[in-house]
Amino acid sequence: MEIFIKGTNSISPAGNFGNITHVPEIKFIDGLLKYYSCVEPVYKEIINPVLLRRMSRTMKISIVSAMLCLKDAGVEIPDAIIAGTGMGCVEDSDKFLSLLIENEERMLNPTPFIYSTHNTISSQIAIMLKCHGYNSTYAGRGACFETSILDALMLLSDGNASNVLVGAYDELIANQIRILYRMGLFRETKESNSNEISGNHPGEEAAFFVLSAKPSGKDYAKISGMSVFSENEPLSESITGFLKKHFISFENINSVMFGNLHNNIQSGFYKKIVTLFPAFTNLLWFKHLCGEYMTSSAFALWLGANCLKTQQIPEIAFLRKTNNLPAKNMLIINNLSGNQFAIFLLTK
Amino acid sequence: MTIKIFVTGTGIISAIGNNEREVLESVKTGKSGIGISKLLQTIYSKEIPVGEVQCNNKELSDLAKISNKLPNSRTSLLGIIAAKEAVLNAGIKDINEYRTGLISATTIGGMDKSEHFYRNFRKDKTKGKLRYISTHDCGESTQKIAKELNIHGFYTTINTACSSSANAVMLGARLIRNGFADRIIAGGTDALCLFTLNGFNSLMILDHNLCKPFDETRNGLNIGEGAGYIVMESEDCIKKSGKLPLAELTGYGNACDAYHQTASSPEGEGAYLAMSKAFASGDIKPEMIDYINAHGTGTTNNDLSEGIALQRIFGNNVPYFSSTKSATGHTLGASGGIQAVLSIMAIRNKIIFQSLNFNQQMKELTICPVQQRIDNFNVKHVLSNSFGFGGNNTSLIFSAV
Repeated sequence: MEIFIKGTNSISPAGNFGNITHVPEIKFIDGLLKYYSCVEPVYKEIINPVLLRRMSRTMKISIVSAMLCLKDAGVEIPDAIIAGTGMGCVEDSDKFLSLLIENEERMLNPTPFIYSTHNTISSQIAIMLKCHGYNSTYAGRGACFETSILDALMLLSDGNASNVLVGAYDELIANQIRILYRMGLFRETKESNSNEISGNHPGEEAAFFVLSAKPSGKDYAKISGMSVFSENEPLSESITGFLKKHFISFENINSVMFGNLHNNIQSGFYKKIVTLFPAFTNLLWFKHLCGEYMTSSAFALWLGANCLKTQQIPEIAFLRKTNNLPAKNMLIINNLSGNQFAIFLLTK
Repeated sequence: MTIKIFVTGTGIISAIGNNEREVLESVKTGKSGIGISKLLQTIYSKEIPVGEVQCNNKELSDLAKISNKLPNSRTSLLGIIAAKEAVLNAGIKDINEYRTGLISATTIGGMDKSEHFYRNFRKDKTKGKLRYISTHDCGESTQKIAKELNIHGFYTTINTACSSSANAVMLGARLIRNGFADRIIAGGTDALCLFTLNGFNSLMILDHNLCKPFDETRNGLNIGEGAGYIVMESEDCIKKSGKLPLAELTGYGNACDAYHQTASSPEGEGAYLAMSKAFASGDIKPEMIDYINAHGTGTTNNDLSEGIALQRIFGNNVPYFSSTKSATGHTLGASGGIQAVLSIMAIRNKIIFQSLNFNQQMKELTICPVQQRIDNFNVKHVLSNSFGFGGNNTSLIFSAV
């Protein structure tokens, strides 16, 4: 089944689609731990300042992104709201956990606890919109954003919804960045002179999409297929099987976007996949624009959808530019934490 | 025609038993698992009763048949035990014989281990054992359960607070109906930890005595821990294997109360909509329901809101209902899974479970829960309610086969 992306919005380190010309500014914690941070809009121009006062940073980023997405799609109230998040509302969790230990379980303010639960964002959006429809949240490592899309696809194909708001969010806080580096998931690197560009820094984002089973005439793109595979399954066979299932050949994919962390793709997970595609396929990447986090597929989907709509691919997104064909079919392949990888087929 | 969803296996661990047999024995005798915490190290252990599983982590590792060397969160251990029991009871030999997936729910994941980590990390950012904090995210326990069950297919994690595992069951059924899987193991797991105990305590919704669901003098919930999973299979799977199913999942509905982050609407709109949708999703009508396993936390707000919603749906004919949370405690992300197992137990054993600690009729309602177990009752259809923070409400219907 095909689903149409009627509207989308992302608040990410990369900023607006039109501004994607360079690698976002890298920020530092403790002087040496690099990370990417969202370019945040002026919230009070978008949302009631009284409501804003009570929102954590991730609530602001996510809820505003969702509101802008609905506006972009021209949808006032969606029929369902679904969100995916790797780590959830980290700031409030960290706050409540720290206080609980510090105060030895006494005199605790319940507010951070209330907003620490992963479903805060999808339910807060529902409360703001008075949307009583289907509402769910997928969380943790693995395919949390992809399951959100799959869930939406089933709601649309069952005819239980016309417009589904689907999104992803993950925020970064200082303590989490410290932990991620200590775990060795990211490396502390001195500035090097090499040409290697790295997206191997912790990142964050909120991205939302309004999905519909019917074309609106002004859609960004269609999601023509999506699958999640276990890394235990043979990679090449999984991808070949996916394309076969969607009646499309490798030759018909104009561009493929990978979730690699470095512009040198001749190593690691993606090395084998690259060889599946003919030499004229454009190779793209995105993690140098948003960083690495559990729901990074959402940024890739937002970027890909914008490329297909505008028929323009930002120069900075190319790993290999070998054709100038109109962007028609795009494949996104992203390895997820938790030994899974996801494939999206986007078509114009 | 809609594809039928059959339940072929169930697994459970909770304060009233480490497996199905023990839990059934407890609900038959009206045993409560709520009491002073022996394992959770909290300053409130004497003040606030909890529904604690009576095994330390070493004993849980033994029950799960896994090594105690790796730092498994208590959430993972409980989940592995119940999920393994469900798979065993379903008589599954080769889990990857059919396209099999795992949908697991949890609200706190490895928070018990994160608490250990933060004690040292808070003061010195270079301290704290990383193997503890690496269990923090909600997907960690799911990945471990999938690995223990040797699932090669799809797995994912749901966190919609206290309705999480009801949503896991619902998603599983929809994945099978839409042809994405043949067989799904769905449910949830949550362990007791300081984070949730103190969170609910700071909200002042923990009863310092035994909780009294749907009682006029009810004064909050008792937090519990545990896990509950069911194995769901498509009609085709059942035909091929010739397996006799335990029950059928005949309805599900998810709606949002869209009222308040922590409070339910006075008219129980979300609960009403979730139940209505569950009835609309299949052939079961309200008058066919024999028993309702209510969300019934024992908080002033929930029981009133849910009670009103029940009266709105069923009018003057509200079926027998009870809250098994009066025995197990509120197991948060696991509660929908635990209730699913108990609902099927009610059908299989022809029992309607009693609600413990009820004494006084609520003024606002005309209904009250079942106070004495009813035996030899032909339970054909059970409605199970799970409502969560943020108004994430889900209702499931299980039927006899």
